[in-house]
Amino acid sequence: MLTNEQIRVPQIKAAQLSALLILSRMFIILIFLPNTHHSVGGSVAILSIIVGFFLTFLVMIPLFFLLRQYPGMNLQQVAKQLSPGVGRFSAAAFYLVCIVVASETVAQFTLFLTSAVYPQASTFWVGIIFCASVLYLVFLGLEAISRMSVILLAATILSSLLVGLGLWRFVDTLNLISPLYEGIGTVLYSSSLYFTQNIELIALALLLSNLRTPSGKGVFLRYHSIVSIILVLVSFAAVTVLGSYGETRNFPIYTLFILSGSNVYYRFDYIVVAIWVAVSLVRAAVYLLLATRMLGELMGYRWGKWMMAVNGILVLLISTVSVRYIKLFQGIYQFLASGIPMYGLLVLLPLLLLFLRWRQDKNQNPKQLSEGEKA
Amino acid sequence: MNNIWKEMFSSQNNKKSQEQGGLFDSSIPQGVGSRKDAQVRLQKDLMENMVKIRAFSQNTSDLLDRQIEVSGVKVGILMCEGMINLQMFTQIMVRPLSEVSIPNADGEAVAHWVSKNTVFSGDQKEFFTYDELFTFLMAGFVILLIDGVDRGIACGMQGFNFRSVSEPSTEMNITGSREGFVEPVRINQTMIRRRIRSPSLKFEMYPVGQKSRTDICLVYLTDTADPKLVQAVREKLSNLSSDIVLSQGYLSPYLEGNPKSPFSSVGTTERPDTLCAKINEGRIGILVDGTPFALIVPYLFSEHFQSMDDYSYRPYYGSFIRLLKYFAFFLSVFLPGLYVAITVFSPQMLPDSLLFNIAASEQQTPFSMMTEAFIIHLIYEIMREAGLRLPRPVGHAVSIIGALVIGDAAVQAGIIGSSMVMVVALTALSSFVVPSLYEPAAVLKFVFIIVGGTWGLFGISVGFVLLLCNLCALESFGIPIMAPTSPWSTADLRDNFWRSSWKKLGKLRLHVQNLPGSRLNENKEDKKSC
Repeated sequence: MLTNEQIRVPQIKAAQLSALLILSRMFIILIFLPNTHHSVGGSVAILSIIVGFFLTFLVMIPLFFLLRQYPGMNLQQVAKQLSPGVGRFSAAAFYLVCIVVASETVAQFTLFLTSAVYPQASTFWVGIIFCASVLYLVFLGLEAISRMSVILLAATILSSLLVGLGLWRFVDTLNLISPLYEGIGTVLYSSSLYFTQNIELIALALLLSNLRTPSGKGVFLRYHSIVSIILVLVSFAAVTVLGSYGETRNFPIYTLFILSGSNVYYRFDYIVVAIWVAVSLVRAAVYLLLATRMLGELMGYRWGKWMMAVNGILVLLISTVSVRYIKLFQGIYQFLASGIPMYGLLVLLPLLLLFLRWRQDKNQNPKQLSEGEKA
Repeated sequence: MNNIWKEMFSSQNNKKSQEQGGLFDSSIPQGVGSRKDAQVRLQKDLMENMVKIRAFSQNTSDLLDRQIEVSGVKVGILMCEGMINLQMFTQIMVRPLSEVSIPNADGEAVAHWVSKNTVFSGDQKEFFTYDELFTFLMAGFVILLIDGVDRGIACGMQGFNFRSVSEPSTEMNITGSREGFVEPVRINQTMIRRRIRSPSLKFEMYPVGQKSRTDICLVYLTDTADPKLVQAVREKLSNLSSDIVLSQGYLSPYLEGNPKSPFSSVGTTERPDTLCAKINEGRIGILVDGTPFALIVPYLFSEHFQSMDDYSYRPYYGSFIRLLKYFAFFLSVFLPGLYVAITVFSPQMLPDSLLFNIAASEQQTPFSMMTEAFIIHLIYEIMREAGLRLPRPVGHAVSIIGALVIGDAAVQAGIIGSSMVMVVALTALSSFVVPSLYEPAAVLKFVFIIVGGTWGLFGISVGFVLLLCNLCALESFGIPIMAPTSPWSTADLRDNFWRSSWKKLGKLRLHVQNLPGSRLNENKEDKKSC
């Protein structure tokens, strides 16, 4: 009982993939918690984003150098080709990360909805509805999700512009202090966090094989640039509008939306609910889809559609438990923010694969020489 | 039925038709029929043929047969009562046959004279089997069987009654043509031919339905439609397993991308000008004999919001109407659910004065907001359906009852709130702005009422995302129905949310197979990176 993806490899355009990743990243922006988990706020965040923008380029060099030699393939496929053992290990690692990200998404969403928007709602039922919806999106496939992402991203940007217009009268640049106030070390540390929290780069590395034309660099440039601009603008808005007050709020971006009500539309905060529901669904669906693929790589695609259901139930269980036991939730968040998945899978793994390829080429070359001599 | 299609497109069949020569039309299937005996060839003996024909037709009373002598040779004439133009039959066929004098005539000589030396009708064909005989006979042809000849001649002299060409009842236009399709497929063909006077316009006729043998006609432009698309449509129709095909609705499920989706990927139209415009974009039209609607494939979601009037207006007004239709569709699906969700879960979203008015009006009603919305919309649907089926003399009674049930009387009785009446009215009006989407809108509004009443705006948002993704997943013959919105194509959007001027529309011709995301052009490199 194969999934639609196993029957025909979905093909998406570079712009669709960029939109998908940008939308997924918007999830983090909307639930940004200042001064938690070693993050920074204020003007330091703005400079950190700019520095982190360039640092990310440097860190991704090995990966793109590797993928350039294997056009049309994703990182896991390259690993499998170079070494079946490394391929299986990387599939397991990617599976673990994707399941954790999907679970974290569901948990974050449930916490936000049941704390800020609907305090009376049951976390369990919110999780059930959310996971069932995510499973349906995964069933529809990557092409449908990516096409939808373009539309949702356009709606999100339009809504954000409306919100921005509503916030304009509250902007006070006096709140902007020197970003180097806490020292260059804080800026550099925060810049490194910018990379480690950019978990969408893992999704990019796994979705490159679905591009209609091999243009991974274009996707990365587009995604990275747009997300950085959005993050700078959001941070600027949070600093200049909310100032120190924003650091006391649980969800400062949500507070921004509440403030931006105008005479025409009474409250914009429900726009952020609508946007965030869409963004959360897309993010969870993408990572659940990737987790299903990785599980298929490990299990040989024997289970087909059942793998989706298994992963969905697993995500629901982890998210439900982590919402009830906040330490587990913090542990998941810290694992993702620690940089272990990012440095391990996007830096060390490509370096290892480059080494394997170099060794393979070296072993092949002496053989070719000796065969040439014999001829 | 699969055998018919295999025979039609096999080279052997074409070769066979060429060998047989004469006026044989290779599009007419051979060896078709549920009765095995009917597939046998005609005999040379006229009496034997006539006896067999009577036996096959169970001696039906509407089968008329006569025998005359033409230059001493017996000729049998068969027709179905009521299907022939008797004046044409008498003047054009009977008189010449009775007056002709062929020296030393035998069966072959008479057949030769009929085939080569005279033309009884423009549509004159030879046939060889009983099955073909019945196919022609029941299509209104006059059949000539000649003693000593093992073939028959069918002459098209149809004269059955049919509805005259009139204004389409489902697609009204203010400006533009007032002609709509009618039931006979041949007349519909002429309406299309008059509008596209190009030799590349092609009609392909096939019978479908084992018992009804309904004529369907594929219409397309050979220099515009993708051959892969045409072949795909043929293959899908060849899987039709229905005994009877009485309307276009019988064919739609076989052409749909996903029959379970609330949205259809097959379009219908009652207007020949609309069909011509679609054909010009590389689409394929399917005419069905006996129904005044044509099917269009592939069909995009944005086409539901297009009408011929848009192209008669100035671009700014045409664009305004287009956007209005999108907004109306959104209202027809989401307004009741949003109303319930906001008033139940998020009343703080409403301005204070409106909130107090709604609270005051709803205070007296016995039902919860969700139940009230569900019941009143259900009653509206009952009334709408009753209005369609009631005879005209009694139709005004529906209006009176409607005014009572969903009107001031119901509000004063305390059954529903006054604001709910406004919501129902606005929803109903909005649903008629885009009639082709009435079916999904009518059902989805109930879904969103329940979702909004149970989970509030969170549920509405989740439902919206699922619905949008369902639309994005739907394809029509390999073309995403959400194109050119997603996948995005800036050039093709000139006739989507807004309507560009004819100068722009005329410059770049839209070919549906070249839309972004189309699988028909999967091997071609995408030049536009959106």
